[in-house]
Amino acid sequence: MSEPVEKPIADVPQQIFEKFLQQLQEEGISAAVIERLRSIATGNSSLSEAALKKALLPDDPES
Amino acid sequence: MICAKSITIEEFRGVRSLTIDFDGKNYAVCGPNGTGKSGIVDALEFALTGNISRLSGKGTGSVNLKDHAPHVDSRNRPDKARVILTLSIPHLSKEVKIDRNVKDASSPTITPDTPDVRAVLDQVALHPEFVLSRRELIRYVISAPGDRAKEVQALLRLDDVETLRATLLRISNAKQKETGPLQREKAQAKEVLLGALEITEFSEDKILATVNARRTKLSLPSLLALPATISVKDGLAAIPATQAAKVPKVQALADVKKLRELIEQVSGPEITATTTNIANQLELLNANPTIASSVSRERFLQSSLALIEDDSCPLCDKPWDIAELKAVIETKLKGFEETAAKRAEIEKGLEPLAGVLEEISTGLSTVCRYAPLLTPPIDVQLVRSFKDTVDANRKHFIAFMPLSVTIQAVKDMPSVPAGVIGIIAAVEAAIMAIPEATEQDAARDYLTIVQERLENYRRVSLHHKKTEEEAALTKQVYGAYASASTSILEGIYKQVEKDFSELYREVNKDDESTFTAQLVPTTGKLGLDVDFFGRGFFPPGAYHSEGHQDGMGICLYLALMRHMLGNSFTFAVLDDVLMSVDAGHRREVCNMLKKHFPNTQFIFTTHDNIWLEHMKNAGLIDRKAAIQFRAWDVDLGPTKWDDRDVWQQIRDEVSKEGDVRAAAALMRHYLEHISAELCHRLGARVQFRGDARFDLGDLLPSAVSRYKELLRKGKVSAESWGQTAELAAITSRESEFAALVEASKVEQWMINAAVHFNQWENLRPEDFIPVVDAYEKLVAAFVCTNAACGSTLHILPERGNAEELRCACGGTNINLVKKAAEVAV
Repeated sequence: MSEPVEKPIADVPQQIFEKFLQQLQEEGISAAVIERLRSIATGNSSLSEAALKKALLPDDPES
Repeated sequence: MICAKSITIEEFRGVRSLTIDFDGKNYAVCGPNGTGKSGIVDALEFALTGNISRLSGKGTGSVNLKDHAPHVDSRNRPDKARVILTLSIPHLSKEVKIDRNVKDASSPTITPDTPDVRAVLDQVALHPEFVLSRRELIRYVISAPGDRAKEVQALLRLDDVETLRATLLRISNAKQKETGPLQREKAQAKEVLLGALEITEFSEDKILATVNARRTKLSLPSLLALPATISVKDGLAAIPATQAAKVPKVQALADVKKLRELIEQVSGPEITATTTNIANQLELLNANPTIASSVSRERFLQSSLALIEDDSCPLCDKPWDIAELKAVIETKLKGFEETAAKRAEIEKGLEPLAGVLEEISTGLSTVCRYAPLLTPPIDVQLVRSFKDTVDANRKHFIAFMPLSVTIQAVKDMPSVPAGVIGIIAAVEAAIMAIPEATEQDAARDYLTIVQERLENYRRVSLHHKKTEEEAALTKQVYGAYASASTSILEGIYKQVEKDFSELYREVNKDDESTFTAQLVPTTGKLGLDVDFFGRGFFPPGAYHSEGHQDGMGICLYLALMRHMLGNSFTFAVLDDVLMSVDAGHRREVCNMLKKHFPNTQFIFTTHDNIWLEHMKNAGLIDRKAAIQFRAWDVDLGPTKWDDRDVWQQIRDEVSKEGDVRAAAALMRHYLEHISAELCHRLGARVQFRGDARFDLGDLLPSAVSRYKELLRKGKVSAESWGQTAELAAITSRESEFAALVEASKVEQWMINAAVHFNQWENLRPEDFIPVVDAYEKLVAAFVCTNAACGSTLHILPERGNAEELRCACGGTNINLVKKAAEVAV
């Protein structure tokens, strides 16, 4: 039987987000986009649709 | 994280007043259906979370906590409906009391109310899954993959992951959707440019060839390339026009011709048939008020979903959890899936029609621009008015709602007013009447118009390219997130899958010792397939029995909880979750819980007395760690058995009811159950019966005989090892047991019909009670004398030659293997 997990996995969303940013970097997505995504994830603002749009498409008039 | 010490329930659900001491240990609440067991579960959940899942959420209709949590007689006094739960928080070394009433459900009195205690209780409140009912259990096992993913993600607190994935997908989809109209706009701009260039092949060489031909006529140098910084008109300003050409004749005729063709096209049979068909579909939608209303609601919900940005409702600003609000709207949208599909189909048909209207609008604008420049000028008021109508109709096609307006716009599309057609013809005739321009003026007009349209084409192309790049970026970003989340979740699910399989194998080692399972996450879904006796992987509900599915449910739940809470998984309430598991597997479930979750306090509810005995015999719960409800009364609440066990119930039948027959039946039923358990645990030989219906006569004498045999072996072993103290203890145990057997007369059943168990029901009460006493003592002889252990003695190993006779705590531990004889050298 596997050993019980020592710590809760409450940080899974964070783990996923870190891997996501790493993958974007590997795929050559611009550093500016990655930085904007990182800043909204680490800041107090929620990952709302508007915030994500602004991070991905800063020039979009609807962002 | 926590364990429950005691609970006091007052005027809550079906309970008037009740206190239970859990003492921080596993505990069972047993009683027939409708005796108030679930009230205990509700009280535990309410004390810890301020909520009762059964009274809130999906499918509860008008039932709610405030009105229906109090006892029915206290329904107007929610302040009296109260639960006081005493907990211990081991890692803080603190004992905490939560006093919560229904009136102020969100403001419990917590003692001591310190930040560290609050933090722990907040964590517990976040995990109402510590209560597992059979209804929830099944959701993990036999639900559809999409639903299972949601259940498991909710349990693992992965809602944010799913919300972010869905948001990125929505952004990507919206961007992909923008590229279509821009693609058409670009094609249209190209078409218009080609018309002005008077060529059919769109290549730089061809464009330069035709442009340079005109520039040559104007003695302008040829252009070698056409980068965005170069104008085909470069140098033109320095050459004066020989004639003040207000209207470029050739291009104007081409423009008017194009407009005429478009008008003919919309009045033609193809578009007439298309508009008739779409109008009919729209009429059908509009004719059914329910569907029409659904279309409105669906579009409203779609819009509101896009508008949710903060933790509040976009309409009324009421505070909401953003994920919860989105989930509510998405659930509502599911109800409109059929309507959404119809709407999408009609919108797809309307899209090219809107494109044609846009081209007509452009053509009408051009005519309006030329008309006042002609000689004499032509009044185009009617054309302008028609253009406004065309623009308005195009907007209705895109807006779709209200349906009645869109229907009218579709019906109007093929009809172009005769007055408009007449004006267009007059404009065309006036253009034709313009004297032919000189070659130089024609070339000047040509270059001017080409440059204007080239600029438009470049602008539209640039916009299209940028949008395509953004669409590609958002798609790539979504893909990266989906891939990252799948990869991390796969890792978690692999571990859960492994744990789940191992727990299930342990419970079912007799028949599914090679069982494996596959938890397969795909985007937004979580498939569960289980091995069926090596024949392949199938959904759990395909071939496994209901009992096996229940077993899977609890194993999956335990594996998930352990991964979610780690070492903090210290408390769980299992509400009647194993009712369809057979006796053999229940024993293994007990062993599994004891072995793998020694630090988790389980509160069980069951309506099955035998299951309760299983838990006691397996040592999962202490013999006294149970409350048994006999009945329930609206005035009194549950009637409990006040720690009296089955023997007390038997005596009560005799002393209070005077019913020896019922008492004898109950005793026989219980002894059959416990004897089967003893035979299993001691490895007794029982005469085989094909129908597996062993009665008391088959079981108890075999258990007695086997126990005697084991004690004899123990004595031989102790003697061989020279263990005189052990030998004396076993000898004493043997004598005591022999006396108990003698008193029970169990060994005389076959030879003395008068003492046979079949005769018990015919005894007088005063004769029956000594029999009860004798059998209670006999059964107790098979149980560890340590009250804290109270487990039934058993042999080890379970199969093969018995080497040890022991109890769960090790207080009784008799070696059965004698010392090997020394060989003389």
